[in-house]
Amino acid sequence: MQRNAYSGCQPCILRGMDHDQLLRDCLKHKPEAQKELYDLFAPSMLAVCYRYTKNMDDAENILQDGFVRVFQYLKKYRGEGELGAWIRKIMVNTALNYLKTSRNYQYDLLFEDSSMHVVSADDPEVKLNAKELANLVRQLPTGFQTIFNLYAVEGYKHTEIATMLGINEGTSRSQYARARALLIEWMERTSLKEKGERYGRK
Amino acid sequence: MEGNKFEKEIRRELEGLKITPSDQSWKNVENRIRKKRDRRLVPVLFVLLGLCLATGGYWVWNSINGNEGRSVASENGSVVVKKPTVHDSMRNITEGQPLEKGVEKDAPEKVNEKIASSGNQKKPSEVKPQVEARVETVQQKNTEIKAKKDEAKVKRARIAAIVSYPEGVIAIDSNKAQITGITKINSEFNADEISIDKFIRENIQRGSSAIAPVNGLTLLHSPIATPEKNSIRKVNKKWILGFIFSAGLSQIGNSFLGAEKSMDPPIMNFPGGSVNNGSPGLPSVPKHSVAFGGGVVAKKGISPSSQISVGINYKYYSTTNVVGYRIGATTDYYYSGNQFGSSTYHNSFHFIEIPIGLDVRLTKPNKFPLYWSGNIYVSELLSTNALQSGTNGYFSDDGLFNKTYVGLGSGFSITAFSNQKLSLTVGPYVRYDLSKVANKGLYDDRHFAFLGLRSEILIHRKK
Repeated sequence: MQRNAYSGCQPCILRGMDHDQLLRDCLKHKPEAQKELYDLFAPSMLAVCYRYTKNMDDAENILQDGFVRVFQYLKKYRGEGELGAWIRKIMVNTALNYLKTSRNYQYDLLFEDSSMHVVSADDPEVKLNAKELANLVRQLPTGFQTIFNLYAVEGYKHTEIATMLGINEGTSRSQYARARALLIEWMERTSLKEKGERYGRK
Repeated sequence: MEGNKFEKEIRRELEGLKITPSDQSWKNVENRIRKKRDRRLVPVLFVLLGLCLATGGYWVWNSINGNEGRSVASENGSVVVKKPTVHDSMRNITEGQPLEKGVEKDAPEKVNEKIASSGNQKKPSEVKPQVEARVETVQQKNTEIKAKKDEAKVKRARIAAIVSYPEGVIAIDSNKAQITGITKINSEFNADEISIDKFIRENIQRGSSAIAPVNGLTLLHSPIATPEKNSIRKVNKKWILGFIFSAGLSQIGNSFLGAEKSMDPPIMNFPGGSVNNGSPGLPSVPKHSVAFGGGVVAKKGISPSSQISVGINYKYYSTTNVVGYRIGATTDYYYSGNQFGSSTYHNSFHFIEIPIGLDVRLTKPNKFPLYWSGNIYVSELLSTNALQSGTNGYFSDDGLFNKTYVGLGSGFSITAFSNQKLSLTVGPYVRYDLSKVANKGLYDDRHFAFLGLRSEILIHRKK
């Protein structure tokens, strides 16, 4: 594979040394720079998209839509935050749009208002690896999955989530509590199952 | 949340997750960003095309004016010959002399040669003696710098002689050595055997190809032309330039002319609906709003009662939605469902388009000037702020809209001031886009429509 000006200097880019040059070249629509930016962020962004969807095809569709937007709006990036965080924000917004417009998701993304908060065990130990954890999150109903991702992983507040999804803050809180409880229950089941399998083998 | 151990662990674990996308993924992204860039070139190409059309039209316009040479009008029965538009310094006009004199004595060598070489009828000495001749000769100015530059002009305007006689006017073209008048005579003509007017009249009656209308020459009250006027209706085969304007209402709908059949099943449900009124909310149906457009048009006659047209236009369509309050986002703007307020949002669509059309006159030449127009349009969506409807409200995403549209238009019009330099055409007009507005979302399977008035201002060449 032909090495370009940015090849092999990922740490440099991450430290911001070649960062500006890469951005400048992307803004000039240089294909090699665009490819480099994609290669740099695509794996972590696909993981973000993966968490919001039910299958890999949808995740890749969101990734593609997201990167098209990244290149389209790159001129609006002012370098005020990390480039990765900016791209991630676009990916999350793209994912939300996708869920809202895709017929596979939009009817599952209905939120019933409930003031009842499910009480779950506080701070259980997370013994699953990232992929297993992501797969568990993806098994949540779409509404729970979206709110869980936005709150627990992206770090949005419930007021922000309520605004983004056009729901009440209370709905966001209750949906999150349910999602959290469900996830903890599944994690415990998974742990028990693994233990059982281990003892069974012994 | 910040202090919650569970969330922190989840975040730490999931943030480390990386999944390598397929190779096809980058190819798709690359294709799409290249396409987007190509799309940006489309407006530029349209503008260039417009400039080419305008330049071409201007060139054709100039050519027509230059080639006209003469226009002839009759005042109180006497024939008046207007002078050609050749630069004064480039010509030497001899007027009011009998043709034989003008040709034999005064006309320059070039003219004599041309006329003489054209056979019997083209010999000036053989034209009827009572015919008065006005001979115009063109001499090339003997300047060092301008000579080459002006050569084309000289050639274009080279009319050897214009001959007036009691019953009409004929002109002799020095290049083709043909006798021309209100008709151009393509066959041999012998002045000894037949008079020019009889020759012309007989050929008109026979529908002979020996004669043909002459570009730019008009003879009013001609004893030759008048009786045959109806049998040889003039076809304006030159391009006429003009401006076109339209204004009215645009609509988007899923049946003909933008009407909305139904919103069943609901495209989206707004969660807010269950909060306020216990039923799912519906996105508001886009309603009609103002539309207008304008551009340039070029027209050309293809038969006595019909003409074709082509042009380039800018077009603005709009519709309205009832939306709730505004929500900010990174790159898009979101609006909540109808339940959260009711303000009106204007969806704007900006297009550039190329219309190709046919105009047919529905009435006889001397009657009320009523026309029917039919057009086919190819439009390119330049930009839009139109809202799409999602589960939880409205959002803006112009990527969901189709970019290229093909549409049909039809209307009736009447023309005023058709004998003036500027003519005005006005009439009702309806348009319908065959292409869908979008393939998914709020505008899925819907089409643009327009109903309004259309007017044209055409610039006719000098009469």
